[in-house]
Amino acid sequence: MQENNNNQLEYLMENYNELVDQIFRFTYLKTSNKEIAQDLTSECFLSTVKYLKENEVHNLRAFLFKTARNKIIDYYRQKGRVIYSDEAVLANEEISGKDELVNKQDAKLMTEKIRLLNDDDREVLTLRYLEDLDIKEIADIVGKSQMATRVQIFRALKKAKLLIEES
Amino acid sequence: MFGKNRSTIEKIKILKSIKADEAFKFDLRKKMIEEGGVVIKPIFSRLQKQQGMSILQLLKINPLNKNMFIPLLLVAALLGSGAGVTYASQSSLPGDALYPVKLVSEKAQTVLIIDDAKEANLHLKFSSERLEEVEELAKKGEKNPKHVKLAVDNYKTELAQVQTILNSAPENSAQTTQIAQNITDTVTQNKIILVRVSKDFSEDDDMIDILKEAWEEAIEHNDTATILLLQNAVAGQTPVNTAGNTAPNTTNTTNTNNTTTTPTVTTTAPSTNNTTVAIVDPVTQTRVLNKIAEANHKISEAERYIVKKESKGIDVTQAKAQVATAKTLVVDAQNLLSQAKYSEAFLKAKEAHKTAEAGKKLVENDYRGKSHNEDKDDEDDDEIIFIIPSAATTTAPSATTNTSTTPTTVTTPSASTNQIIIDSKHDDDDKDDDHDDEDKDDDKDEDDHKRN
Repeated sequence: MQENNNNQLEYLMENYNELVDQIFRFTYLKTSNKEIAQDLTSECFLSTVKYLKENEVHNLRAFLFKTARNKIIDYYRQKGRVIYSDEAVLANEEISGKDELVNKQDAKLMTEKIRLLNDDDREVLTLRYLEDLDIKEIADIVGKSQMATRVQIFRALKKAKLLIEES
Repeated sequence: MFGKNRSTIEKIKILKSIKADEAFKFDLRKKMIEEGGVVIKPIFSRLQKQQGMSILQLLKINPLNKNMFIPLLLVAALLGSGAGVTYASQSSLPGDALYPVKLVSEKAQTVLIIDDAKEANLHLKFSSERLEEVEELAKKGEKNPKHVKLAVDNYKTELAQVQTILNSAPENSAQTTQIAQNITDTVTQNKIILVRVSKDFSEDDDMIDILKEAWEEAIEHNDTATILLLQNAVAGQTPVNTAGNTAPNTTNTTNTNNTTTTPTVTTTAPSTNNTTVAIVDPVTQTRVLNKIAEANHKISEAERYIVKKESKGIDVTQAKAQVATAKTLVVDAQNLLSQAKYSEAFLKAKEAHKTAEAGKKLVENDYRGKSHNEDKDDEDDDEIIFIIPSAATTTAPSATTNTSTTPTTVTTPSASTNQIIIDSKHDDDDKDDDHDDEDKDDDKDEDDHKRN
């Protein structure tokens, strides 16, 4: 048992760079704020490391995303609002000329556009196409059935298409 | 089903360019190891993958340099086998054929380390090693300055590495404090070595110049670490109630004659600040006092130099102004110290040191520019270059070349432990000396040395 935990920790450290980018991207697209995203990413990883010392997880990647997701929910809860609507996220808007993360015009544009989607839609799209997770993993992360996830992705993509074509 | 949506998907993928900062990633990784206690198995391939660099890049070696080829093969063979150290090279000195191998094997050790404090200690160890090499060279009667320069350059690099580690460490953490403490300890030892070596090389100007570089680096790094320690010490204290001239308004306060009844030591403040003083240990005070002493020493040195050059017709007005400023700064520093503002006092003393140094340099440049015949009497740089002044002999610099020990405005803490204080004797024209009853650790008195 111990051996397995070490393996998972090992895997975590070996793929650290990639995983951090993924989680960071995920939290950033959800919170639109670099500092908050960094904090949440840190928390996610630190608590994962802690957890992995005693336990084993089924799927490390999914576990990380789930943890990150929970941290985000906690964060918003702490802030006193339950944010699932777009307005509140937009209020956190950090995309400006100064934002170092998104340098290229395209990326900036896309970030704005993707914000226009609602939270759930945005989430499944990023998990699917940015983080390349499979349906099973996404379903696990968002807590829905695989079928529901598939449908959501399909619909979200359609909405995204409309948004993007609009320009 | 998603065929028509391909372009949309492509567009979404643009967002993959969002990534976390390298600095952030590095910090988090450190945290994970520290707090999470993650243990990394030091296998090169893993590190390589993670760092995304080749080991050769990590070690900063150009493999095409034919001088490095055989040593590299050696190292590669040994590292590959899991051993880490090539013993033949360990005792080599700059100028020896195997010296590069020694450096490479040292570097290899650092690559395997992830823990900050350990890495810092390793670099500190290497820095001491460099100076010990210089000492060995001196004993052997080394004539070639290049060899000494090689060691000193590496010495500077090692200190710089430690600095980088210190900079990226979290503020106010116990580990950072530990690292800073180790730095001050090591650098103080380094200074002692430099003092010894400067005697051996006293004849050689080039050598002394190189040693000066090392000395200055040592001071800079020592100061940086000390400042950190002072700041952390302050941060950990109860807040100082500097309630100006008003009566103290807390219960266990000091009385009006500026001495506390608490077990701490305070300095007699010339001002009317009679407030509670934070709990301070003598160690902190001594650090500041040492720096003030250092500044005073520099001021004296500059003054003596100025006077000597003045008689040769060099215009010294600006330099004198600098020295005057420096003296004022020292007084400021002492005031700040008495107010228990340790960091500020330290920084002021450092500024005084720099100002005095600048003053001396002005004259130096003028002198060197004008006269090219070096009178080999006691004129040129008869100053004792490397002195580690003791707080006990804080002298107020006077205008004459006789620096006498006048009563200082700062009372030094008695019987300070944990301090490496080296008594210095001024030997130029003075016979004065002031030995305090300081605890001498294992350090000896360093005599002044006159350079011809």
